[in-house]
Amino acid sequence: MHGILIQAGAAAGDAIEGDGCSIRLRLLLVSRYFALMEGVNDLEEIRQDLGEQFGLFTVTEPKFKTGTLTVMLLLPIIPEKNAAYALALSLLTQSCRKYPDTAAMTVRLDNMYGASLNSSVSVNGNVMQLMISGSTIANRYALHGENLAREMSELICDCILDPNAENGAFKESEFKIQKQELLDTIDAEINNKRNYAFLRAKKTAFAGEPDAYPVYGTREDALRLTSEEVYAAYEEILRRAAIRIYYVGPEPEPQLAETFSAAFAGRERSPEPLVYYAPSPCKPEPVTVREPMDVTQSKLVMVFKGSGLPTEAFRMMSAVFGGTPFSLLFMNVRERLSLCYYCSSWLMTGKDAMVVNSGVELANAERAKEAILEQLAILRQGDFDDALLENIKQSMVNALRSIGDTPNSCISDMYERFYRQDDADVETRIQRYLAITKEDVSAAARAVRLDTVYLMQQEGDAQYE
Amino acid sequence: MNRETIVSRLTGDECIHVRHESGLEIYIMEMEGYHSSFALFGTKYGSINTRFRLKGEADYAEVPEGIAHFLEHKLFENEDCDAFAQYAKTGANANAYTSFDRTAYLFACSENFNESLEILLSFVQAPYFTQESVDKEQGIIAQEIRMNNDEPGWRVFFNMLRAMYHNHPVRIDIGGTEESIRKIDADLLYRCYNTFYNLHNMVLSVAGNVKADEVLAICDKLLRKCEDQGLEEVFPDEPDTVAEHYTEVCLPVGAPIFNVGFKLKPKSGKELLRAELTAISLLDVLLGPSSGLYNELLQEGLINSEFDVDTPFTGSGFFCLSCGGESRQPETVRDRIIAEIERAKKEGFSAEDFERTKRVHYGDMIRSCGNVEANASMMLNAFMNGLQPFDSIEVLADITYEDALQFLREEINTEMNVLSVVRNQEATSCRR
Repeated sequence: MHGILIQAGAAAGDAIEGDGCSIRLRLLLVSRYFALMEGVNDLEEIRQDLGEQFGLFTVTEPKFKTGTLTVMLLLPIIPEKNAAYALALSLLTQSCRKYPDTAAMTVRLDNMYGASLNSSVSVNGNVMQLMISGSTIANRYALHGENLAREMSELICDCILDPNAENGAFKESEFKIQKQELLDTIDAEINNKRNYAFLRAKKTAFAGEPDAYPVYGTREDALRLTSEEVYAAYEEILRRAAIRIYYVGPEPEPQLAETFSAAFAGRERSPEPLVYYAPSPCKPEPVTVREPMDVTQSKLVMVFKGSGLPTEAFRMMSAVFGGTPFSLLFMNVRERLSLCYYCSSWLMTGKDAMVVNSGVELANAERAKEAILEQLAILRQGDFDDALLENIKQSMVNALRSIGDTPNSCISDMYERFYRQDDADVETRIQRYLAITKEDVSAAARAVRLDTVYLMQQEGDAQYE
Repeated sequence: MNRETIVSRLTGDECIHVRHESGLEIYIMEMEGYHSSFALFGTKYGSINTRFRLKGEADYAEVPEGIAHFLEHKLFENEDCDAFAQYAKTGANANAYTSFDRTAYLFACSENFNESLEILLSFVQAPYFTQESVDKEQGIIAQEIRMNNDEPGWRVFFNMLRAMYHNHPVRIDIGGTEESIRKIDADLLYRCYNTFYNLHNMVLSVAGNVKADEVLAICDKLLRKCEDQGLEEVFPDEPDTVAEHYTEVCLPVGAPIFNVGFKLKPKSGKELLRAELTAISLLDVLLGPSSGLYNELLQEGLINSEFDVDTPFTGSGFFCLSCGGESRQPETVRDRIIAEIERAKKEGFSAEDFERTKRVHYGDMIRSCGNVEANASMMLNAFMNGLQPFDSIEVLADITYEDALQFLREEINTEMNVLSVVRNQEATSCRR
C-alpha cells in the first residue's frame, strides 16, 4: 500500500474442519488437439498439436504493439537437479552457437529494437517450470520492414536447440560466467528480507517435499557442477519436458508451427506426466522457527494448510482475509492495531497452502501473531461484513476483466487454465466467484490450520514466545 | 476550458489535453480495444520541496523532511471514511506514491471507472487530519523507514546520494527520518497541503478504456476552482563537487553490492530531456551488455549480469548518472568505468553502436505505448517535467552521435564520482 518511488519506479492446536490434510495427487495429462477456443475476454485462442505433450497456442489481437513468444519446458521436479536445470536454462539464453557471448547476443537483441529475451525457473506443485520468453515490437513499427516475430522465433529455436556447446559440454568460458551467476543468485537470496523470510518459512513448512528445496539448488549443488553434467541436464530437459509454446501478438504468425516442428524434428522425446496439485500434510502441532538477524524490522511469516479446497472459495477466503487493502488483516492488524507495516495473505494453490507475510517490530510480533489468528477466527465464524465479501467479488471481477490487455496476461491466463484443467472462459469464472457465499468463505477458513511460524528476529531485548 | 489533441508525429498515437478552469491540467488517452483503465492524480510535491513561500509572503517556510510522504499516507483518510473503503465498492485497485519531486494517487480498474474517478478527485481534495491520527501514522511510517533501511538496494542508492550532495534535500530519504517525522503535526500537514495541492500545481492523467467527455464531465462536477498562489520554491546552494567519494555500510547481503555515480550540472525542461536521452544511449554504448568493458569485467569475474546502467536520476537542482550491481571488487570496477569514460572522451566511440542503442530506446518507447499504465504515467511525467506528451520519442529521433560526444566531453566530469558499497558483515572492513 502506499509507496515510495525512486524515479526515471490459525490458532495453534485449532481443530481443523472439512476434509483434513490428506495428500491427494491429481495427474494431468495433455491430450492431442487442434482447436479454436473461446479465449480470454473475447480473444480467440488457436491451439495446435505439434507432438506428444508439445503444443502451440496463439492469440492474435491487433491492438497490441508488441508480440510475446514464450516457450515453457515443464517437467516433474527432481530437487537435487534444480541447480543443473537452472544453470542449463541460463546458458541457453545468454548465448548460443550463432551468438556466442553476451555481447553478440545483446547486439542481436538490440538490432531487433531492444527485443527482450529472458528465462525463469519456478516450481508449481510438483512441476518445475523452465521458461524462455522473448518480446518484440510489432512489425508495423519496424523501420526497415523486418519480420520481428519470425526473427524472435528463430532466435529462440537457436537458443534451445543449437546451444553454445561442443563435445557434450557447454563452452567453458560461458559456463564459468553462468556458474558464478548462479552462485551469486543463491548468495543474494538474503538481500531481499521479505522474500528470504518466506523462503525460510517454506523450508520448514514443506520439509521433505520438493518445495522445501531451493529452486536454484543449494550452493553446494551449484559448486559441484561441471559443464558436462549441465549439458547432460540440458539433454534431459529436452527429453523429459512437456513443451508449451505461447505466442500473443498483433498479427498472425503462421510460420511458428513449422519453425518449431522442424526445430524439434528427430529429437528423442519422452515427456513425463505433470503433477500440479500436491498438497502438503499439516504438522500435528504448529512449528515455530526463530532466526536472529541484523535487521531493524522483524519479519513474521505464517503458513496455513488445508486440503482439497475448491479453488474459487479458497481464493476468495484468502482475499477476504488478507488479499487487498480493505481485507481483514490490513484493516485490523495494520490500520486499527498498528501492529505491522505490511500484513497480507496469498495462496500456493498447488499446495493448498495460505501464507501470511508481515513486517513487525519484535516487541509486537507475538501480539501481531495473535491478532492474525483472531482475524482468522472471525473469518471462520462468518463474523464479517457482507459488504466486504461483495467488495472482494468486485475486485476479482475487475482483475479478471483486465486479462487480455497485455500479451503476458493472455499467456499467464492460457497457462493457468491448462494447469488447473479448467477451460472456463472469463465470464464463466466471474459467475463462479459471484456465486460464492459467506458460508463458502467461512468453510474454507475452517479447513485450514496453522502449520508453521517463522520469525526473522531483529536484534534487541524484546522476547518472542 | 481549452481543449487540444496532441498527436505523436512518429507513432500516430494521440491524447487530449485540457486546461481546466479550476486550474488543473488534464490529459486523457482513449485506447480502443482495451478493457482496463488507469488514472493518476498528481502534484508537483515530493521530498525535496522543504523550503517554499507563496506570493506576498516575505520569508520562506522550512518544513521537516518526509512531510510529502506523510501527507500521502494521511490523505487516504477523510472525515467520513477511508478512501480504500470507498474504492472497495468499485473494485478498483488503488495506491499512491511519493518520489523526490512528486506525489501521485492512482487506481487501475476494468469496471466502474467513472465511480472510481469520482472517489479519486474527491478524497484528494478533502484533507482531514487530527493530531490523534497523525500520532498513529508516525508509528506506521517509522516502520516503513526501518523496513527500507533493511533493504540493501535502497541503502546503496540513498548512501550514494548522501555522499554526492552537500546540501540539496535529495540527499535525504524520501520518507524522512524517524527524527524528522516526529516533528510533523496536523497544522504542518494542512499548511503543506494548502500550498502544494493547489490545482494549479497538479495534473490528472487517465488512459485506457475511458471516454474523454465523461472524464471531463466528472471534472466539471468535482474540481474546485483554485487561485494560483504564486508558489516559489528554493533549494540550498549546492557546490559542483561531491561531498564524499566513498561510502560504505555493512548489512546481511550475499556478494557486496555497489553504485557508482557521477554528479552533473542540473538542467530542466527540453534541455534536460535531451540530456537524459543522450546519456541513456551513451552509457549503454560505453557500459552496457554489448560494450567491450562490460564483457571484460564479466570475463574477469568482476561483475555479473546484475550490473546495470540506471536511468538518469534528475529533478529540480540535481542530475546524476549511475550504474551498479554486485562485485567483490567494487573499487576496481569504479576505476575501470572511469578509465573507459576518459578513453572515450579522447578517442570517441562507435557511431554505429550509438545508433543501435538509439534503436533500442525507440523500441522501449513503442512497447510503452501499448500499455495503459505506461501511457498514463508518460503523460503525468511530461507535465511534471514541463514537457508535452510524446516529446521523448521525437527528441530521441533528433539526437546525433555528435551530440553524444559533446555531452560526454562537456557534461561528464569523472572527478565528480561517488562509490557507494554495501558489504556483508563478514567482510574485513566490517569486522574492524
